[in-house]
Amino acid sequence: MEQHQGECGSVLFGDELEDCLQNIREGDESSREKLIADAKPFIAGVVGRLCGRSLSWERDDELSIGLIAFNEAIDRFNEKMGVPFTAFARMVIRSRVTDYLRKESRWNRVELHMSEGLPENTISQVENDVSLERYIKETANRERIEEINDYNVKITRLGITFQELVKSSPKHRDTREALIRAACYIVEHSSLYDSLQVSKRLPMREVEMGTGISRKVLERGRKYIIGIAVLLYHREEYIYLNSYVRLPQGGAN
Amino acid sequence: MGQSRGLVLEIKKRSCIVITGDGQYLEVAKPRSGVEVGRELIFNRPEMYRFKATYLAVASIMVAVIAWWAFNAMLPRAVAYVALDINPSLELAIDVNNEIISARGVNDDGQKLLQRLDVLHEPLAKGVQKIIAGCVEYHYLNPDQENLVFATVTDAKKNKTDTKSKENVQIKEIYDCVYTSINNTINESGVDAELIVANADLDTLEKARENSVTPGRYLLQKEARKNGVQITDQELREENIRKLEVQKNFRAGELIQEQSQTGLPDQKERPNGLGKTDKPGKSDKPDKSVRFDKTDQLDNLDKSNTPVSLSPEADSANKNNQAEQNSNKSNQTNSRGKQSVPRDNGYFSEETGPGQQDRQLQNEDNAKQNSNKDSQTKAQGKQSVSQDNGYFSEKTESSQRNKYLQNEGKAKQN
Repeated sequence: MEQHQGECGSVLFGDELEDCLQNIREGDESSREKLIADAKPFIAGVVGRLCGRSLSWERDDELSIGLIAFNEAIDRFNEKMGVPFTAFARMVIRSRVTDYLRKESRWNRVELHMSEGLPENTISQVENDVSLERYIKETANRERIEEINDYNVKITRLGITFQELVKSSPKHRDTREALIRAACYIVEHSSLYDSLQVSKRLPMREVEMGTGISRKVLERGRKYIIGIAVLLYHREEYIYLNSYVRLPQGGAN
Repeated sequence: MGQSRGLVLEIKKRSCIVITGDGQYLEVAKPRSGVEVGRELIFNRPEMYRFKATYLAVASIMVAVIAWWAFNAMLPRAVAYVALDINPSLELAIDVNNEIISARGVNDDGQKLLQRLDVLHEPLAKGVQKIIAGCVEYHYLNPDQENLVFATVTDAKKNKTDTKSKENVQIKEIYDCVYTSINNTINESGVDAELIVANADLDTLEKARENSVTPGRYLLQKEARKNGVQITDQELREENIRKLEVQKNFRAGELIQEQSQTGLPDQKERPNGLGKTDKPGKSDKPDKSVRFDKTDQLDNLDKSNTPVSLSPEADSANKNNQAEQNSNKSNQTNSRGKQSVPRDNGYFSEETGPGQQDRQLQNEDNAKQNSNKDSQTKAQGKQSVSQDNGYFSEKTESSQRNKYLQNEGKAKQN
């Protein structure tokens, strides 16, 4: 599958991720390569955020470490862990890269991540290690709460509360799907999302033209569209939320 | 969709907000076991969110309003009030079907009478008959004294603009009904009574109620005041109208008639004010009240069958007139029903006070003096009035013609 410009089409965040992982477990190496290739921007994002700078695949070893860690995560992932694969992969990548940075001792701030990092001995131990499982669960819980709080902050910045999202949330599936399609459209056209961030208003005309959804419906679901768009735009960050909420993917394609 | 699950996003006092797998944000009841943000929550029916307080309140208010409205619609609504002043004063509320839906004694006698009589849910005519019969039975109306039955019909509708509406037709019907039924009952019972039927509007009714009198009495007080006769509220409440008449030296019939006459000029552009109030009574009123002038002559002629004859001339005039009348039989039969009224009144008036008798003698004089021209013109004047009125015009016209012929006969005789 070719690389999509937006996150919406990526295998990593798509519905077919589980199938893909299943295929890999069954020994389909092409699927593995495809997944890793798709995951490159995600890996770069996670590692870059950890290092606090933008990295390039040619120069920086950290990215290679991340790539290896991602490959490891594919092998070690188990659905019974109760954590989405992406979240698990992120944990592994962070842990590995942190270890690497600590070894290199290049940055003082590495110290800060030491406590957070996945202890090497535990990760190298057997998979069904009880402490590891508990560690993953705790981390997942913490990350999930952080995600929700961050999401709350982001929508609040756009002048929306969860309460309003409840009110704006359409009851009918058709309407909801239409509004989610509109949100997808905004996310895929980052200029629209940027203008949303700046003006805190929905770029109504563009969305109407792009999706063919009537203005009335858009107007009524304005807040819902924004709420969903924020959720979808931060697909890489809001792993837990996005894996929980199975929104129709790439609606505009 | 019994149970759903959602990720808890926010926790509130009594509820929490979740996002479901299909992208719905919902507010659901907080489980007793407690929740944390980020946990998955299994909840029943997303419909049971907070709904309750506000929607329930609104819904219950609406139900209450609808119930109240339905209740009101079910209750019979009064379209008119008929107030009777005999001595017992009563007020009857009439619904669309001319049935009495409530009866109220305005004074003590009225209440006593209503305790003895059951007029509720009777047709108006029957109820009125019952009341009159009851008055006779319980000696409120005595054969050996002069009586006055004063009925007032009030339109319960406030806006008087739609003159042609059904209600107005019904008011006329009620008016007619009250008049004929009272009249018939009085005739049957053989009690002497003067009958006045007047129309009052709702304002009058309300003001009368404030003073706890019937609209009829209130009207009387008002008219009396115009004529310089003061009746205090207390007198109005407690005194018999007949007694008041004697005391204050006025005639109720005249006063009420005056009121209707003041309305006369308006007759052409009737839809407003007094003119309209009197309308339905126009054809009746001359019969009852105008008798003091024009009608009296006719009454006297009419009185061929009454025992009282005041002069031989008049008597012979009557006889001759009778012959004339025979030739007009067809006309007469038409007007029979109407004629009975003036005859009664004439009869009663003869029996009543000396002043009235004087007046009648005067009228007799008129008859003697070949005043056919005069009476003719008067009758004609009257005719024009009744034509104006439109209502009952048929009846009145025929009686009018009859009277006109009578006058002619009289002229010939003389």
